[in-house]
Amino acid sequence: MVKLHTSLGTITLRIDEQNAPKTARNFLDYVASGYYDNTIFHRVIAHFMIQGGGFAPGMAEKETRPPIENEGAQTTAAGLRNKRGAIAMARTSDPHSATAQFFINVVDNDFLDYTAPTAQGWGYCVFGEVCEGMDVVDKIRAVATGRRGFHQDVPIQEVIIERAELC
Amino acid sequence: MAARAQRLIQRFPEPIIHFIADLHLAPETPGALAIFERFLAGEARHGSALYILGDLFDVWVGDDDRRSGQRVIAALRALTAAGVTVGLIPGNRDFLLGTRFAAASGVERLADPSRLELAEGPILLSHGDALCTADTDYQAFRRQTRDPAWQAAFLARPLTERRAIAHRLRADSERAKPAKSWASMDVEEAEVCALLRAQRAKRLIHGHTHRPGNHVLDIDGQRAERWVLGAWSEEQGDALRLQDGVLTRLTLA
Repeated sequence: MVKLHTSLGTITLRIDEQNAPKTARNFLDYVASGYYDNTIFHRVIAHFMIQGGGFAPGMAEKETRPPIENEGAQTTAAGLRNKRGAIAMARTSDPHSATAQFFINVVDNDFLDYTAPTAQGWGYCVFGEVCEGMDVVDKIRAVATGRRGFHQDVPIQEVIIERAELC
Repeated sequence: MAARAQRLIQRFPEPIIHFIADLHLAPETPGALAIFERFLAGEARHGSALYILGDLFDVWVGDDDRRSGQRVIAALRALTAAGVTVGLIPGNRDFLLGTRFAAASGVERLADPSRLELAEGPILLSHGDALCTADTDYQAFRRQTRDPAWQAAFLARPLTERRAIAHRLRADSERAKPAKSWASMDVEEAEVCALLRAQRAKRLIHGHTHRPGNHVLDIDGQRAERWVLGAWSEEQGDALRLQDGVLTRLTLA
């Protein structure tokens, strides 16, 4: 379990090391190293997802470790889906580019699941779910957002992950 | 690997965005209205935004016309209340959609053209009538009717009179069509290229012409795309879906 202590409350995550071994290990390593402490949810789209884990307050992008392999094929087969409350890895247009940034689905987003090993079909690898604190997630999705440099959908009032705790 | 700075931003997943145009909804077209209601209650909710690129209504003579659009407004209200952003560029039939319509439906009125900013570059959105520059009569009419003073004077007339004027204008336009060449009623490619060049965009989505298709353009040696939305009928609707930067066409029924 991982607890994200945010400025709007605590989100508790159950991480699925069995079905998403590499993705879970990557996330837990970032948690254990304190990487997520004092980072922000920098991309909030109310009817879609909330994304964080890559920027310090002030939109300062953090250095990451190398990207990981997309395990979407096996996690989708194991029943891990991008439904409301599921946590998955964010990435660039390259399917195997996930590093530290993750997102929590706030609605069912079936179209994000793996369907085929193609640019459109790789999907986004789910590796856990919110088991407590969905009300906090809903508070975050409801914040006002705006544009900041290259980034859109940035909360105007920062939502900070003060500490990520392994428990 | 190409290395543009923007590409490295982890903006994926991108939400789904839908585009529709030329529904021409009217009391006489219950089939199209039913398709619209089903789309808004279903597919459109998988998206984070819906953009309506003009001619949602076949005619709109003012927000005070309570006979028009109550079911359409209710369907839009339900969608926007569910958290989906809905933007609307007025068309040549419904350019009088105003602030009361916007407040009742939760829809945001957008300028023509508008820019949708995406990780892979902007997409321009337009109704498309302003690009049909070969039809000079129409452009003169367009300039006149988009003038705020003309609109204020028109809206000051009684509702029954406005309905009669709209009816007459439509009949005139239908009568004029056979005399106009097929080409003059399409968008001018040079106009499209000038717009894309000025906005530094590679993609344009528009409606108006009722000639659905996707055209590849060459702008100064660079590939650009013009996507045209199709008009709705009583049997089916046309929509485009943008997902992870890729546009696909949907047929709605």
